[in-house]
Amino acid sequence: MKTSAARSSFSSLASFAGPLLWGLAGGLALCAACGEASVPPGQVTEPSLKCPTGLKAVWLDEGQGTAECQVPLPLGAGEVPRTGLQMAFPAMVRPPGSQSTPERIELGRLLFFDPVLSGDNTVACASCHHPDHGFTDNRAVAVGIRGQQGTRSAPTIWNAAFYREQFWDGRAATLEDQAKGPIQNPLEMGEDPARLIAELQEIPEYKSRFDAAFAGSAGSAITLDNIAAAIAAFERTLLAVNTPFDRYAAGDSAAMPPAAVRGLNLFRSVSTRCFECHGTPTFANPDFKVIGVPSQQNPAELDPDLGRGALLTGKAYLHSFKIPTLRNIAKTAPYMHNGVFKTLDEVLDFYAKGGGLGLGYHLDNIDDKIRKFDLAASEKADLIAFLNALTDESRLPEIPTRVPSGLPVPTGPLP
Amino acid sequence: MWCRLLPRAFALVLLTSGCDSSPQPNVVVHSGESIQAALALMPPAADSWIVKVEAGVYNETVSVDRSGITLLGEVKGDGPADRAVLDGTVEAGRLLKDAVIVSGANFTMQGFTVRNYSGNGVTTSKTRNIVLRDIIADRSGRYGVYPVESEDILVENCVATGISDAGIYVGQSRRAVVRGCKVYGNVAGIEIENTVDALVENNEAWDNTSGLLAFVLPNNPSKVGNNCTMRNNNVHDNNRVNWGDPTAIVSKIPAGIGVAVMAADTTVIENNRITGNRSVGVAVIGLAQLLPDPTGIDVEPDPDGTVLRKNTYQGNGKDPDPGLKGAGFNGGGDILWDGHGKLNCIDEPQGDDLAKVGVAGALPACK
Repeated sequence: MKTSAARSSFSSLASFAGPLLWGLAGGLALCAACGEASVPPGQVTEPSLKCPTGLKAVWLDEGQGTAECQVPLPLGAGEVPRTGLQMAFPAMVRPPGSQSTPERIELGRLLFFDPVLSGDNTVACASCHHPDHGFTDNRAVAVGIRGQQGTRSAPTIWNAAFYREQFWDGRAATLEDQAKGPIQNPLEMGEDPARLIAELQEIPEYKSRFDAAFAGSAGSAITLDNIAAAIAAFERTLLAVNTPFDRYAAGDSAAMPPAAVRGLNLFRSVSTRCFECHGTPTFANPDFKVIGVPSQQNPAELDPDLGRGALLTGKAYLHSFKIPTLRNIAKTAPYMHNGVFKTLDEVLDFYAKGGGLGLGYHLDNIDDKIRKFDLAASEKADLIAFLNALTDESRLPEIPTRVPSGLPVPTGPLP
Repeated sequence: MWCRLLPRAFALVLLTSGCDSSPQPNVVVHSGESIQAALALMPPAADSWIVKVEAGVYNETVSVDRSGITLLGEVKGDGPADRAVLDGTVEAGRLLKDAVIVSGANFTMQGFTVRNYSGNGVTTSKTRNIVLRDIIADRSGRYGVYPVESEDILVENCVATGISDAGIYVGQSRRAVVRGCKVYGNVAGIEIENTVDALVENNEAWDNTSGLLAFVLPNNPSKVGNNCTMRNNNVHDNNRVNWGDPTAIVSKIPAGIGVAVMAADTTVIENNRITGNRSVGVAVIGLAQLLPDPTGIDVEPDPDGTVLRKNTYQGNGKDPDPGLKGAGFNGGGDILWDGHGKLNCIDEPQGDDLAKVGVAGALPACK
């Protein structure tokens, strides 16, 4: 929607200004202030950026001066959907200056796997968000430096770029803001930014990479903001957008097995209502909702974590959490903010019984879509077949064999 | 008079109801065959596909993901066996969940009965240009028809009965017309939720727990609900005991409310007959009636700009549901206002003869 509105206003502007613009276009040499690559309006050339494999170079602005590398999405701008299931992805939340250049993406990849980011040099982002573990750690709650238990489950990075907010309670507005959190959290990576910057300054490869990626000199570009910007640029390439469901949605009726097709219809049933919170195409949702997740320690009780409600005044959002994507959900067990459900089977049982109300919790703000529904064993199997059809790991990045600090690259979550 | 179906036209432009002759179908489904199989025959490059379905019983869930699809049910007469029926019964004690699920645009479905589903009759989601005409939803689950996050919707000459939430629901949508429908024996008759620009006219709603509702709920895709006009409806005897799912919001509605406006803005209720509703003829209330603490929710919780104009009230509020007292109102009547919201006004010919509940007496005259 956004794209087409922008295009139509641009084209109407062009038609209004028509002869004038084309006249100016002839005078390419007149455009002294255009900087590099001034292109006549109406003539579109590909940016000459060399992007990592599988990413395409895209102009970031209509003036066609800045370019970046993006993951191609199933529905290009202006493309007509093949079926009603095929929807355009939302625009990513990007802070000003955000630009996914090849240098930033590569720097971000190295930083992501480099334990130098932690206070005792043992924990990397990849320790809790490991590619072999669905970009999480397959644990109920994450484990940080010195074996400390965290408070919530590490969310997957897959498609996190499409969230309107980051973290289970939505406290970070961008991937950049999010990245700064765990680095400094004493339970997670426990690093002091000033110390980290000093450490990176001592590593010549980081100095030159930061300088190249952020137009610095002699390591001047090593700042917490740029560390976060590089990590975010890398994370924006971690998209699962070519699942069997996506191919089915593009019109290939054989792309999902029959069980998954039945599962899709169960998913978008007004009986189960999955689709109303986990809607296409992200299978996530920008609203925060209460479903009544049980406590891991005491399953007879509602989990005490207040989620988003702890950040807000009033009672309306107590125990509410962000609705995460279901893309690659098959890879990211266990489930919910506290990882209380080990399997998708358990998750569906929870919903079919009516969520927290079904478990007998007193919850006056439970979401109105959470209700008991019938779920035959075959229907549960079909739903799980559909959830499995939301899997796409084709964009798994290469794990670096070495990182600039020389520290060991994590092979999985911390023991 | 010949009638050309225009599946592509904006729903609001479709003024005709009841076509005398149908265009040639691309495929005919005979009793015993599958409607889904007929949809699968649509060629990849086609932008329209007309499926005629003969009278008979079809036990399936039909999903419609391509655009330009028309389902035409054969209607041979007035009896239940004279129509194409989508029936969710699969085996003793088990029902399919939904009759029809639509993601494709430019969809028309007319002349069907949908019955015995546990979820819903016809859903449309994130799509546009929808015509649902002459559909009988009979015990089709929680809803009869459920267009959600859709645009340009026409629900015309439909019937909904025996439904445990809302017979006809339009939610999170824009530009919807619900016209000429009969809704009876449901918990909620017709619901317009978080929707902009709706017209609910010439419907009859009776024997529901509550007849017509226009409201806004938090934490939904649309953060507003406004410009719903409800006119020329016959809203009578909506006194059915609330038999909704006790875990659902709908189960909180007291019985005997003809028309309810909750938190929706610029709702116009005009020229309706509102009679025999045991609690209240028209209730105008804020979300405070539903949520213990609306602080910080993502919708504006109060009804603003409601116009009550030229309606006929008779025999309302004679035996109010105890739930009304539980909500702090000391009796039944024709018009109830809980005092929330601005610029609500009244222009009713019966004037002071009307029984006012809450602070409805303080509603100013409309200018």
